[in-house]
Amino acid sequence: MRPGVGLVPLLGGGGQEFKLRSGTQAVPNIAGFGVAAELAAMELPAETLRLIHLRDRLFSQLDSELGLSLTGDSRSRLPHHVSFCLTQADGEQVSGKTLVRQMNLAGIGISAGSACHSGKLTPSPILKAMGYSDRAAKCGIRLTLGRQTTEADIDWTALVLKQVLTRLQAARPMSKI
Amino acid sequence: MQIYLDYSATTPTRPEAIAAMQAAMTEQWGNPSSLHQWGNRAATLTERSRLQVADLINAPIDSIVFTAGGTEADNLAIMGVARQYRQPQHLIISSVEHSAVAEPARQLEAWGWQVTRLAVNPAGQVNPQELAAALRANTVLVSVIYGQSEVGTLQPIEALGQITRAHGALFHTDAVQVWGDCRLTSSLWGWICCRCRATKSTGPRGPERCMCVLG
Repeated sequence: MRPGVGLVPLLGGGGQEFKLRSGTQAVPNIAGFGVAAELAAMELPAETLRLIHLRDRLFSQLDSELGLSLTGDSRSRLPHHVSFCLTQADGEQVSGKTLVRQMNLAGIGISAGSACHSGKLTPSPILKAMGYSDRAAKCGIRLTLGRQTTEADIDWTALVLKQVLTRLQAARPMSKI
Repeated sequence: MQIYLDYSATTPTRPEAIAAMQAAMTEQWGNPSSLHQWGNRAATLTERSRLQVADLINAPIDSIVFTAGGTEADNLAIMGVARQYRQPQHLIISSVEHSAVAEPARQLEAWGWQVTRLAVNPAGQVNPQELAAALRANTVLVSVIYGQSEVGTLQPIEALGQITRAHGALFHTDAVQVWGDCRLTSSLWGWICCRCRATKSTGPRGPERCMCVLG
């Protein structure tokens, strides 16, 4: 904290964590965090490059395929992050949630860009802030990679995603949104 | 074939972290505040972890505050700053914040605070010039997410921070998604409050996450 600037703690109590966060520390979790941080410090330079390579491999296999358009900045971007908005060739859109469910059935865990609160599909406030329409803002998906992700995972995911999209396009999913 | 591609939501815990947690539960189960040997063992482990976390993000060790999670850390930064003031002030955030920042901001607004939400371009980026124009005499805090979790965009955090510092306000960034990967230079520490989270680096979920409130 900058000198002269106090931070008022949210919790009153024993004054642990430099009086900023009262409550007995969860030592086992903190220990796990410490080890993960130490390993990350050693592995991150190489791992970041590996993730960027995998991310771009996924981009190159999917971008513009079946109406997938990248959301977010293509260059100033998290190394492990791929996100798309789904617009089909005929202008119809597939909801992100539908795609997440279909991918899950195929054994692949991805995320809809928008948070689906209590199962209700709402337009993503993030995509709306970026200028997307209400309808388009329901159609974001996100694939985020990590330590256990391999090239084979990426290639298989791209293949499955294309198949799922082709099937959904044939089924005219807009009526289900 | 099962493939998990949702690392931004959470990550699998790596075996080394699980082993460390299990060892702590077996051997360092004391209360770190206790003055006896059981307490000392737990305190030593806690401080070693604090050092490991500080090293990773290039921060001073006494700036690492462990909280129950990223949401708590964001709330501590926003509300912890706001609660110093008897009268409502001005807060600046971006229009693409995680709800852990957007909601406390909304709460402050209901209490009479002025809140400016900086617009973003179609790629999700804030323009530093717009921040400069939005600063007011009573702006006490600027909070802009570092790496947006939904669309992956990185913000020009250094530029935003410099502008905020020149104005004399505090700067906070939600760095959950860039954690471990953030290349914050040491010159930034001292005025940045940054929340990070263990799960994005294959650490455990839960109370181990850190908030860095630095200086």
